[in-house]
Amino acid sequence: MAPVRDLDAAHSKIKEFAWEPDYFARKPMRETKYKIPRRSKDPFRTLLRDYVAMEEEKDNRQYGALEDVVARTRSPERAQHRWMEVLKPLLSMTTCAEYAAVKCMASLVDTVDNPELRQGYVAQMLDEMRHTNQETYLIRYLARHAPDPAGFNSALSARSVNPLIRAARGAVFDVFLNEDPLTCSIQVQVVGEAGYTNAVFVAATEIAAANDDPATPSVFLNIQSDEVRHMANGYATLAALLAEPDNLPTLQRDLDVAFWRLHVFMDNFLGVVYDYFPKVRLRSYREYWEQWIWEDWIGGYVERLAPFGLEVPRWTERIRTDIAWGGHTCAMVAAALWPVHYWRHDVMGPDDFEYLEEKYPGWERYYGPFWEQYEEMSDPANGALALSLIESIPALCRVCHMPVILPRPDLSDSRLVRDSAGRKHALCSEPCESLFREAPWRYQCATWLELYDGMDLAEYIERVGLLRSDGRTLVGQPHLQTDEKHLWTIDDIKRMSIEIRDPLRDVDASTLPVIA
Amino acid sequence: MTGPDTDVADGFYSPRELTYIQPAGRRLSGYEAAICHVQPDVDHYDFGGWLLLAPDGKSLFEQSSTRLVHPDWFEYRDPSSLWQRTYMRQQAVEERAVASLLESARSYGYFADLDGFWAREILARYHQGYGFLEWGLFLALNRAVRLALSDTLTMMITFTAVDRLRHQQAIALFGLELEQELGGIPEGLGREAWLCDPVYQPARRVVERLMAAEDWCEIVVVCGLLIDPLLSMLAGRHFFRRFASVNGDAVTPAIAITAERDRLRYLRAVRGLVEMVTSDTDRAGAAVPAAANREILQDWIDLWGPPVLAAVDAFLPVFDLPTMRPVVGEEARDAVVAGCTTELERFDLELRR
Repeated sequence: MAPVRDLDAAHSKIKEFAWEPDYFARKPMRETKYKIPRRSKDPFRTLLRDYVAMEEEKDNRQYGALEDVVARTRSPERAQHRWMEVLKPLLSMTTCAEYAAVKCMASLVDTVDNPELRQGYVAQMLDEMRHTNQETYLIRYLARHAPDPAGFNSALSARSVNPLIRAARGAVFDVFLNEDPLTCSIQVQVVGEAGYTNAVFVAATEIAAANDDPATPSVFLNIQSDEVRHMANGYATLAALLAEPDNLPTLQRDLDVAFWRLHVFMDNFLGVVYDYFPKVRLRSYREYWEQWIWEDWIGGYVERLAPFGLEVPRWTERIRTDIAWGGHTCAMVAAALWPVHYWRHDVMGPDDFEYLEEKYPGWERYYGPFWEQYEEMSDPANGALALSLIESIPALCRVCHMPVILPRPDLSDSRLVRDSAGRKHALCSEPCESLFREAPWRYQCATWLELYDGMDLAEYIERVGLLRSDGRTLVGQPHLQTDEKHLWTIDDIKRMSIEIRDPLRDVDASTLPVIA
Repeated sequence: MTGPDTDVADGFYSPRELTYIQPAGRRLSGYEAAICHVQPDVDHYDFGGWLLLAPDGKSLFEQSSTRLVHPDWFEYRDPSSLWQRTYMRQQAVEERAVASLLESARSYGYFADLDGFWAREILARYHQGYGFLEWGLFLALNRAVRLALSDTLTMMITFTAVDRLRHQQAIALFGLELEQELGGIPEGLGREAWLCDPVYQPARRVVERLMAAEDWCEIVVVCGLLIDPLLSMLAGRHFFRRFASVNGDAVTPAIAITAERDRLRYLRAVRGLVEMVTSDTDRAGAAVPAAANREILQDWIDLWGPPVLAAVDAFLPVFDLPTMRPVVGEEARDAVVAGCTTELERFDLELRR
């Protein structure tokens, strides 16, 4: 494509077309509490002419690879099955985040009256739609080519009714949209993209490649090349906000909350993904976290803003400590709940035990017995569900909707409270309690346990569509075996007559402290 | 959902096709697979409500964000079936064509041969001024991106908003070439025309009003059924494209024709939306308040039609400025009014003065 001769002039020229309306006053959809300078640095500096050429080329590379090489060589069939299973929840979560970011960018364009920042947000809006489509394409691609299509073929409906993945919305969907647009920008760009996309897209890429999965790296690396620009958007937004000293207290609060919200779902979820699903292991999630979040994001990004008065997020030390155990507890709860999942949750073998104990000294003491019995109970012939290995399904936090036994049952600082109307709430931690205290009316959503409390487990499985097309075999399985005699069916579940039970049901509300 | 393309994986009893999308046709399309149900929705799969309400207690998506009512906005399908890959491919082709034309123009002395009056008075002033209209439409449509009540609508509107930004940038970059090649063109003629020239003030009034509008369907419909077929058709097609050709300018028509292609695609997309809200039932058989929706649509036509027509009339004097005139302004106006009237009649809607 013929280059524009004077790029600086071109970038300036395209931004000259905004004007202050005279005939009709324009109010943004959502006002911001921040003061935003009218001009700042352009973080994107990309003309649409160049952008469409660049993205077309990237699309050709990625889709070409998937459609020609990967499919023809039937590579997805040879990928490690255990790894392929976790792509079902992982991709259904990332798709949710990408799409929310489309609308978040539209909200920023609407509110932020600054031509430089707007250019960046518009291009990112297109990028996010691109990523949404890339990831749904990959989901369908894997439904067609992965060894087990179940769960890929239902990914975007199954995610919504899954007790754990449903919580993703609290970290990467609702919070990307339902705040002050600049608060959402902190959540999406400053913490989500600058902090977590490396931990998702780069780490997952290298693990996927090690586990003989060529499709995921083709898509994820392609996506990550856009994310770098989004980080620049986030930094430009931060710089613009920090240019106005009055913004600092609000910005600090938003950064604190954003990091907690992302952490409480993402770190626990990614801990499960990276520590429990690769067959060929590279690094533990804690090691990835230390590199991408602690050293790169906290050390290389947030701390560099100290001269402007911005401090490391309030709950960082706690988060760093919790990383050691949260993923393991989450994995245990997830495994115990395997019949309600849209993926197969494999057993842990001797190599896994050794690896996890080495990376997380003490792991075997806390989690080893569960996984030993989990394997025993993975055979339907034994007539027992792993759910019986935990005292009960733990209550879910009203704010983050994660199990309230994180990071580890004996370390949890969860609390039960009631509001002035007598409604009972479990809160997983002090940070979630502080969010709830600030605005309890914002957290009205029923937890998964409240929604299905009292329902028979078999009825639930049938009702939400967790059976395979033979009408009997469960989508979720507690192993990767394919021999029919090892596959759990709805009849096995029916025989056990298990009731989904919200532990809050039996708690006497009058004994709980009133919080709001 | 199983069918000829949805074989069941050996040993896993599972169809190799997405099961959570009800295709509009017999088979699931690549377009539907790329976008359907990416937007969580409490009326579809995401039971129990939103995890976080807004500080004012509002939901993420409010049915009240538009006066039109439909039982299932997720049924919408873009008739062009565009998703990001196909959209990007189309736009890259368009932009390559414009860029190569500009490059050739620059290399072969094209700008020096341009009629001076056309270049300095029409292009630098009115064509650049028209770029403001495109930018304003982008900003208005962008609001609808956030508010739209389903993913398929959101994606269609996103592409349409970006279309307008692409048009604005193409106009801006052509303007920059003119300034650099010809020299002596005062800065800001386009802005001055848009902000002060009487020929653009009624258009600016319409665009500013749309930029302030809060009903996302109103923004989408007014842009697609009134502003595009009346104002953009008059200025973009009948004036800039047709007049440029006879005034020795080959670049402006190339820019204009790509915009026309996008507008035609958008018109089809808006037709799809209007058909959806004026059908008696949705695809699942649920009742659609078609009559009430048609009344609302007519309200919008009545509210916005006269000011858009005023903007059309105000632009007509520009038709008298160039020496070479392939069409009289009033004839062009009659043509766009007739086209718009016919389009609205498809839905029993009427353009009234």
